[in-house]
Amino acid sequence: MNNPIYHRIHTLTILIELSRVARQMLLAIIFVVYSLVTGSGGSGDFFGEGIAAIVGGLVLIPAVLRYLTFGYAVQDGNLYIKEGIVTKKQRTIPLDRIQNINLTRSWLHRILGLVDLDIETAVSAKAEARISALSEEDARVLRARLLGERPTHTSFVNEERAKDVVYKVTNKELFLAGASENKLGTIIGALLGLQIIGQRAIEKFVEDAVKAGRTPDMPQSNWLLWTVGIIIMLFIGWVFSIGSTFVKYYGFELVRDGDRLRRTYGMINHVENVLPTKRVQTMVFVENLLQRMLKICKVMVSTAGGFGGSDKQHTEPGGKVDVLPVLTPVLQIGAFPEIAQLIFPGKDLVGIARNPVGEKTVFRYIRSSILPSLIVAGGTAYFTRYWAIAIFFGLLGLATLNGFLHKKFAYWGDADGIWVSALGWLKRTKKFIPAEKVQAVIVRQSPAQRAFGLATVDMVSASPLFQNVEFDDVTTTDAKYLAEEAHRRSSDGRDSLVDGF
Amino acid sequence: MPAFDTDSWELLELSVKKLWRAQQAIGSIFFGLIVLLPEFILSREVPKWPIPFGLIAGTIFLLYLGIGQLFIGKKFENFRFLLGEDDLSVASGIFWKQWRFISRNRVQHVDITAGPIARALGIVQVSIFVGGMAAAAATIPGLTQSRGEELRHKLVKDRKPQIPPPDETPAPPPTAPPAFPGEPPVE
Repeated sequence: MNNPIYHRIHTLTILIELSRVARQMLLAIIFVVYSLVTGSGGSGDFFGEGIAAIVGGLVLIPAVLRYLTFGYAVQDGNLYIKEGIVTKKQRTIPLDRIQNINLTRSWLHRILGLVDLDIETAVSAKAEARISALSEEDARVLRARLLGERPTHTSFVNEERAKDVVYKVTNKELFLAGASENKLGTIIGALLGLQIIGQRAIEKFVEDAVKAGRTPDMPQSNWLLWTVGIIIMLFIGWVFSIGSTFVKYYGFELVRDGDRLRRTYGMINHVENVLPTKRVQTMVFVENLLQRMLKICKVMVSTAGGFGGSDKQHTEPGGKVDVLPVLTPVLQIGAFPEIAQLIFPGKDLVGIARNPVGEKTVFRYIRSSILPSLIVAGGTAYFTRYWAIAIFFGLLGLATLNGFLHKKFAYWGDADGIWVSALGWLKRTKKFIPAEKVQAVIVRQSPAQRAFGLATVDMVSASPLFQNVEFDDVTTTDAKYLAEEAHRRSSDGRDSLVDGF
Repeated sequence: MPAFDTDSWELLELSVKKLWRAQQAIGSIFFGLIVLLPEFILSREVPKWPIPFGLIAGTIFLLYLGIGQLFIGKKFENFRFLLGEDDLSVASGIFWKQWRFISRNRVQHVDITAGPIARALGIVQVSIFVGGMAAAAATIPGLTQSRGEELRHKLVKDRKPQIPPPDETPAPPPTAPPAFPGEPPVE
């Protein structure tokens, strides 16, 4: 091997690095500013400025050193990265091991015209290497070289090449996605509303009672107030959800480039990924009740590198940049077969024969819920007395309903070499895993399942995000078939972790 | 080939029972100690706390220990593995049963570990890892050192050759990589 000739990162990286370090040392900086302001005049000046110099040096020196010591090179089919001030680190990543490449830009990057480039290999959901930051031109060239292409010397902004756009999310679709997405904010908003309005209601209630000079009883108007409060907060949460969807996914575009897909999105923070479709380990299709009524869904894919893991929220100067495993944040259901064709070409994932789960699934649900229901009912018996019996049977009834609906909507199938598992009735998910991507098969059986001849099969993929494709409550015969067949196909097939990049 | 009939599969070394017994006893002690803390607080704070100090924790400790020890024989009976021609199967569990099937050509690496008790008993634990899984895909405790190493050797070395990719085209002759803008081409 020749000694790699390293390239430097962009000079303005120092600014980004500065703001990153500044964030970590916020407390110290506040202290310095404080002492500078309060210590003006007299001998305090010198003290304050001295500290400012020290802190400034502490912030600036690592940023400059990092810039000076960081280097990258693409040579002999490898990516070399050297970094480190005291502890030197040199990393070699074979290009054919790269699972996907992400380009991210926070608002600060965008002002400075810089890009961060993340490289994911099959090690974990985290990016293996991060080259931060490059000019847009350098990032383009580097990405092209990592992908084994000849770089075209055009910039991001005025990309002349004709793009094969396969899916472009319209603003209306984004609106629907935000409006139908179940966001935690909605719940928190509702709870906050409860608290604020609730507190006021209680105060008013006490006030009234004092005025009336009698023992208070619950006036009806307070309930109205509560309800209105909850509705207002739900509405605010809902608006917030729509807004955040817009900010995150604005201008989402999926572009086909041979065997690869490229997605770009983001209003403030800009993200661009390259996804080699042959490396997709699992694909997940999700739709909740509201989305089903609106005829939209969400599709996620995951490579062995994670394709942007959920735990991969980089703390950036411009805030957190989410790189999510979504293939499309929103998709018209009618367009799903077309998108699925991009990921698994030539496979019909929609018109497959649906094998039902075990007949006795409902009984399994009832049996599994007996003990928890007993515990819950028993636990409340002290307060509820005989109502505990009603609670017990109520819980059993819910379990029965749940089991019934689960049995009705769950199915599994084999789409010409792609295993399909559909689960859930309120929020329905369909998971797809190609037979050759199955790493291991696990069959599980709980006592309740054993009583009714059922079992759960997990097909383990190399994707750290959607690790298991679960086939819940299939009959033992089916479980045996699934385990044997999945196992046979995966051991006959090639370990395709490194194919197709 | 996976099968659910595990009677003919291999058992672990008998001494693994001793390891499990010791581990379960240590676990019981910790469990008892954890219960002891709230009991201590209750006995201090609640006036006229009727139960002598240590009785609840002691009972829980003994129950946990007793039941745990009782099932160790069953656990041993139910833990089985089989190294097939192209796969490894591991079955475990008394009530919640589990069968794990791992293709030999999917094995990424194999770890052999032994804690102090296991070392004293002369046994090791073999963990098998596949791609993308951070945790071991399967763990086989309680093998002698030689048996563990033999298993590792078979899993890592004696595997069938990989099938080449379907469209193996000869690699194009290496060309000089294009230069970065504004820099001399890489030699």
